[in-house]
Amino acid sequence: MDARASSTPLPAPAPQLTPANTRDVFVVEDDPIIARLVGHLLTRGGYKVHHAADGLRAQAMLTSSPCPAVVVMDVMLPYVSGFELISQIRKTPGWERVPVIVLTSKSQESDILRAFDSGVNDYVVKPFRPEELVARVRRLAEGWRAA
Amino acid sequence: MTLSFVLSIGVAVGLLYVAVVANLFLVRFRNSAHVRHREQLEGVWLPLLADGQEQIPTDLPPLRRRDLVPFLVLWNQLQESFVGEAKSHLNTVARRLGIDRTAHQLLQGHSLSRRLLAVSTLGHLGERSVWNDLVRMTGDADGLLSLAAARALTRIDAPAAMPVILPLVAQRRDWSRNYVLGMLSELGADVVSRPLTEAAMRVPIEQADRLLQYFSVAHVSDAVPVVRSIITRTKNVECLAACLRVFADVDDLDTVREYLYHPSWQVRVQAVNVLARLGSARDFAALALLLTDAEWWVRYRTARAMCALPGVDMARIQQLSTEHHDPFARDMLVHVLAEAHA
Repeated sequence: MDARASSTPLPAPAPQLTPANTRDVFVVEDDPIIARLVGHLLTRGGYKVHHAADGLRAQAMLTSSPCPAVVVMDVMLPYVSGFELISQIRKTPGWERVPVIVLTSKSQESDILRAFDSGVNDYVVKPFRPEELVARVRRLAEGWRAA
Repeated sequence: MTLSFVLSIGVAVGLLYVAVVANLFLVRFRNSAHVRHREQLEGVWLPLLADGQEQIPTDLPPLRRRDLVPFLVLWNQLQESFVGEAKSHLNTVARRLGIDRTAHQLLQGHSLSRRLLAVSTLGHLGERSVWNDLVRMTGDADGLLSLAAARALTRIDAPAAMPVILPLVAQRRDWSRNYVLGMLSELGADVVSRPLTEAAMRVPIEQADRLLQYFSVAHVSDAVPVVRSIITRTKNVECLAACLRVFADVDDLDTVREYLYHPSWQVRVQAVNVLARLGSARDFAALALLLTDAEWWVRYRTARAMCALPGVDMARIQQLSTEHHDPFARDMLVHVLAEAHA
């Protein structure tokens, strides 16, 4: 049932994690080849991938889409930085606890610390092992469902 | 006569207009055809390249001549994106397609973009047969090509590449610092540390700063003795600042303290940074003097260093932020205290 379809002017109830979206993964990545690659790996792993190519589109999806099982995102994004997006994800009703995996080429200790301080659940540095990324998504998606 | 002349001009302008518009359409058509072609190619090849070894079909799709460049771009980007077994899987697919032979041909061509693609591809494939060609290319006047050749050499045989590329790192001002840092970091301290620190001792002192910038990749045990030697032999500001960044031992603090009041603010700020990491409460007074430094960065780093010193009571900093005679020093302490409480 989609509460957003209602004609009521009241704010829509917070999207809930339902069986319909426990296989959904939200990928925020501006590099088209990496986005396509991650999309392929996750689709092959049985997930339905929703892609946003920049921070603005990702922001729009926060309010228009139900909460996915996992968010995989870069932190270097056009228009809205990844760190700002993480903070918005944590403030969006229904998305507060969604597991976030950062997939980025920023590998300095300070970047990793900043990401964990911002509330991300996992951090994968590019270049990466494709199977490892899928395993991390699976672990977080299943861990959240079990919680 | 006049009418005929005007008509001719009109026809010429009209034809020119039609030609420009037709050209615009042609360029747009070619661009969208190019994008469609690239997307189709990615649709076919990305799954084959991204999936594991066991999923390679016996019959790979044919790679047409016009597919070659976009395929190589995709293949190289995936090589840059992956670590581990996925890279050798990419190499297996490439060799089955005869990409190694094609890359050899592209390497001898005149197009810079194709030569760059070839250099990168041969590096990922670990093609030793082009070693001498790549060594020659590291001396190319084009910075991109020379750097790409250097990276390819490190991928083919990193220890053997070190004596070739480190003198160039010291000499070539057109090589991107971030790119070189990424290349050396990818190789790791075990490969880079000894050759890098030894090269810093060998190159002329005015070039040493170029190598010192990358000492963060080296083992401290290799880097510090070299820095102790270089810092006594140079007056170069970049070199001194780079040396100070390396110090990681309290035994060097007396040397570091000598640079707290150096005429160059870049040196002073690095000395302050070392005290922030290794200093003690006995450095408090010396640092307090730098709160009135003319340079904002020195005042800022000094205030942060004072807060970081072990055994320093924050109440003491708070008191100084209200009682210091210099308004800039007071402002900086207030600023840093606010950051600490944020």
